[in-house]
Amino acid sequence: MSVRARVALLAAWLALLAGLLAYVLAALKVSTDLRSFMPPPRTPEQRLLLDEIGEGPGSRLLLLALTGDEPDVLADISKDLVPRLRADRRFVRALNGEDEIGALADDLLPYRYLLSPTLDDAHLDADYLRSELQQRVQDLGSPAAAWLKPLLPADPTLETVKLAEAWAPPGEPARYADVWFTRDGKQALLLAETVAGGFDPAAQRDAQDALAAHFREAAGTGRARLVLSGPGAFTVRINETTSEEANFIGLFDTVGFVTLLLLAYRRVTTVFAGALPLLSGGLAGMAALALLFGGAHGITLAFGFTLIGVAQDYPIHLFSHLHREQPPAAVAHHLWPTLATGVASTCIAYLAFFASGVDGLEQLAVFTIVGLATAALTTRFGLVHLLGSKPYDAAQSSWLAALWRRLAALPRPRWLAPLLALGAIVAMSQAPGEFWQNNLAALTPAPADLVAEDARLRQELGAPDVRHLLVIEGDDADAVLAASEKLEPRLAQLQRDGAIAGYELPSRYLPSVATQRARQARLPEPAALQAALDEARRGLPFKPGSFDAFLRDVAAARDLPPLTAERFFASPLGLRLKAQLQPRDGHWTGLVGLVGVADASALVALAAQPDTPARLLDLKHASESLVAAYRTRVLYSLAVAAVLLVAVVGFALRRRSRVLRVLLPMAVTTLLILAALRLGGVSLSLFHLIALVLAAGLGLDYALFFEHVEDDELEQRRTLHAILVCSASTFLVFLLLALSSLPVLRAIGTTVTLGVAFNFVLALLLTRPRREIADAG
Amino acid sequence: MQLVEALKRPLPAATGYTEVRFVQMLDAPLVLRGDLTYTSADALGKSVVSPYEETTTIADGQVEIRRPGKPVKRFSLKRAPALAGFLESFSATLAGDAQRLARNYVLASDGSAAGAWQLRLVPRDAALARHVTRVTVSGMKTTPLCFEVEEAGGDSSILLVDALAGRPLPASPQRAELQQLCRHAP
Repeated sequence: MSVRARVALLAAWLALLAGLLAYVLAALKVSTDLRSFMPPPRTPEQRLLLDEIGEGPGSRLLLLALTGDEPDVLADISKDLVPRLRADRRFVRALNGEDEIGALADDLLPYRYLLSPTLDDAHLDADYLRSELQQRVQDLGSPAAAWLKPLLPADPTLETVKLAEAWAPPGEPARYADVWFTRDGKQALLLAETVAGGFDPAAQRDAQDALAAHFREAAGTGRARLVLSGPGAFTVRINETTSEEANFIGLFDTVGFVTLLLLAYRRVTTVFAGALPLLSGGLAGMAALALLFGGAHGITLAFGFTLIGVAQDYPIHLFSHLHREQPPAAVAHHLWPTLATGVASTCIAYLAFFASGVDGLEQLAVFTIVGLATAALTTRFGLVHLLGSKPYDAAQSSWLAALWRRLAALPRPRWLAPLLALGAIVAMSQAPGEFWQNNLAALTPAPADLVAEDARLRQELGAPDVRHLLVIEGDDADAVLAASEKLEPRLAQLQRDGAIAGYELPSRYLPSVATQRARQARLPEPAALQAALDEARRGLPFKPGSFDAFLRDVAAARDLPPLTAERFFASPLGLRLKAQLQPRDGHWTGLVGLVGVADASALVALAAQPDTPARLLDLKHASESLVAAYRTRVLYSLAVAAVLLVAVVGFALRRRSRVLRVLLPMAVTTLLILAALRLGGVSLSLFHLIALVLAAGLGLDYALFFEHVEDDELEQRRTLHAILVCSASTFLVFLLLALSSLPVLRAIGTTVTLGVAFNFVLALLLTRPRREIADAG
Repeated sequence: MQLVEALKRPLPAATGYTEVRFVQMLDAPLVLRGDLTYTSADALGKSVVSPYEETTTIADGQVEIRRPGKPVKRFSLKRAPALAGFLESFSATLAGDAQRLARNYVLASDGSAAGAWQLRLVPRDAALARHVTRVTVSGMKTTPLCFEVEEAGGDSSILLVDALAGRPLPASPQRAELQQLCRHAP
C-alpha cells in the first residue's frame, strides 16, 4: 500500500473510532448500583437484601462530625447546615438535635389524639385532666413557659410535645448550644439521610459532594472540617481509592508496556498502530452493550477491559512474525488460522456466560466477545495495511537465536503434566483456611481508621445498626403498621434486657387504623369533656374559657377519618415514614431500624418465634449467601465454557494428540494457580475466577502458537519472539497489580501473573511437537 | 457606669429568692420561693422549694428542668427568651460588667439620694427583643434586690432576691405593689 493509502486508511479508522466513541458516550449509561450486578435472588432473605441493600434506614444514613474549631463556631455551622440539607432534594432528612417542635404540620394537628399513645392508658376525665393542668401551672412558672404557653389553649395535655419527643432519634447524643455534640464537647454531630442507596457510589458521590458544598458555604473561611462516615461514605472512599490506585498502576503499566514494545520492534509507528485493535475492540464492545442493553454496569466494564486485554497479544503476534520477504498482509494470512482458532474458541467459551441468567455476566459476555472478535478482525484486515514494508525482523536477532537453541534443547517429559496436576490437587486439599471467600467486603476493605471513626460516631449518635434490620411485610400499609405495633412490646423487652439499645418502628410515626379508631373511641363527648375540664380546673388559677380551643379540637377529632399512610407521606414528616414504609411489587414493606445491637442472638430468637410478624435481615449473612449463589452460577458457566472450548479446539485441530498438547498447559496451569493461591493462604473470590478465565485465554494463545510450528527455523524464532513479548508484557502489567495494596486488584494481579508464568513454561515443555528436538539437535 | 461596676460580686454567689409571675392565662399570679446559685457567667441553678419542688439548671446554653418523679425536661435557652434575658442581665450585673450590659442593652438608670437605684435595660438583639421588651434591675447601694422581666406578650415576672427574698407577700400580690417595693426598698 502507498503511504497515501495508508494515511487515508488510518484517517478512516480513527474517524470510525471517533464515531463509535460519540455513540458510546451518548447511548451507554453506566450504572454503579451494586444491585444490578447481582444475580436474581432465590431465598426470601436474598430478595430482601436486594430490595433493601443500600435502602435500609441504617445504610443510607451519613454520620457527620464537625471538628477543628471552637464549639460555638461548630454549633453555628451545624445550625446553618441543617436547613440547607433539608432544602436539598438529595436528602430525606437532616438532624442536629435542634428541637423540631413545629414538626407536626397544621394539617396533622387535629390528629394528635389519634397519633399519640396517651389515650391507650388514660381517659380525658377529670382526674387525668386535673393532674395535667397542675403540671401546666408549674410549667407556666418555669422557664419552659415561653414555648409551652402558645400550645396550652388547644393542647393542655401537650400531645404535640409527646409526639415530638417520640419522633426524636432513640438514644439522643449529648448537646452543646442546642445541637448534638460528642461527649467531650469537641465535635458537633449531625445525621443526614440520603435519598441515594448506600451502595451506589455514583449517587452517593453526588449527594456527598452536595453535602461538602453546603458545608463550605455554612463554614465560610473558618478552620472547621467536616468528617463523614457511614456506609455511603465508605462506598465512595473505597471506590475512589480503588480507581485511584488502578489508574496509578495503569499509568506505570502503559509506560512499561510501550517501552517493552519499542525495545521489541524498534518502530514508534508500529507500536502506536498496535494500540488500534484493542481500542477498536473496547469501543465496539461498549457500543454493543449500549445497543443490546442500553447500559452497562461499572463492574462489567472494569472486568471486561481486564478480559479483553488479551487482545493486545493479537498485534504482537503479527508484529513478531513480520519480515521483509513477504508483505504484512501475507504474514497475517499465514497466521490467521492459528490466531482465529484462539479467538473463536475464547469467544465461544464466553457464550456460556451469556446463558448465566445474570445481567452483569451477560453484559460481560457480550462485551468480551464483541471486543475480542473486533480486535482480531481489525488486526487481520485493518492493521496489516497500515504497516510499512520494511519492518523489524525479530528472527535476525542473535540473542533470540541463542535463546531459541537453548529452549529447543529442553526436555519434554511426559510425566510432567500428571505429576504437576497431582501435586497441585494434593496441595489444594492441604492448604490452610477457607477455600472460598464469601465476604465481598474483605476484598474491598474500608480503611481501619474509617471503621474506628464510624464506630465512635455511631455510638455517640445512637445511629441504627448497619448489619441488622427487622423487615415487616404486609398486603397493605395498615397491615405493616399493625404488625409494627405488635412488635413494639417485644422490642421494648429486648431493650430492657440490654440486647439492643433502641429501635425505630414505622408505627411510631403512624399507628394502624385500628389503634387510631380505638383511641378515637376513647375521646369523650363534648358535654362530658366540658364537665371533666370544669371539675379539673377547680382551685387552679386558669381563667375561664382558657381551653375552648382544646374542647373544639377534641370534638373535631371524634369524627376524623383515620390518618392514612398516603396522607402522612404528603406531610412535611412524610419522608421519614417513607424511609421505613414502602409499597413494593403489590405488597408493603416496613423496615425497623435497630440501635446498638449488643446481642444478635436475642434478635434471631425473636425472629424465630412463629408469631413474630417480622423477619430479621442480617445483611452480612444474606450478602454472603448471595455471593455463594453468584459463584455457583459462575462456576456452572465456567464448566460449560470449558466444554465449549475443548469442542472448538478439537474441531479446529482435529487430531487428538494436537488437542491434548494445546489444552494440557492451560489445564495444568489452572490447577497450579489454584494450588499456589491456596498455599499462600488466599481464599478464592469471584475476582480470582474471572482472572483465571483470563489466564486460561492467554495460555490457549501461547499453546496454539507453540503447537503450530513451522519447519523454518526463522519462523520458529519469530513465534518464540511473539510469545516472549506477549507473556513479558502481560506479566509486567499484572505484576504491578499484584503488588497493589488493595485486595481486589491484588487478587486479579496475582492470578494472572502466576498464570502467565505457568502457561509460558508449560507451553514450552508440553506443547511443542517432539520432532522439533531432532531438528534442533 | 460606676453603678454597675460597684455591683460586682465574687463567684459563686447564692441567694434565696421569691419570684412572682404574672401570666395572662391565669387569673392570679404565681408565687414561687427558692434558691439561686450562680457559679459562672453562663451557669445558673434555680431551685423552687415552694409551692412545689423543681430544679432548673442552665449550662452551655441548655436548660434542664427536674421535677420529682418526672422525666427531665431539656431544651435550649434560646427557647426560653425571658430566662435568657434574665440570665444575661443577672450575670452581667453580678460581674459588674458595664460594658457587657451596654453592648447587649440600651441602658437607662436613675437613683435616689437614699441610695436606691434602678437600671432599665432594653435588649439590642432583635431576636431577644421580640420576646423580652424590658428588664428592670433595682437595688439599694451596691446590692441588686429586684429583677423584673417584661415579655412581649404582656406576661411579666418579678424576682426578689437578697434582703427582699424572704419578705412576706400577700396571697395574690399586685404588680404595682411589688414595683413600689423594689423602687423604695429599705
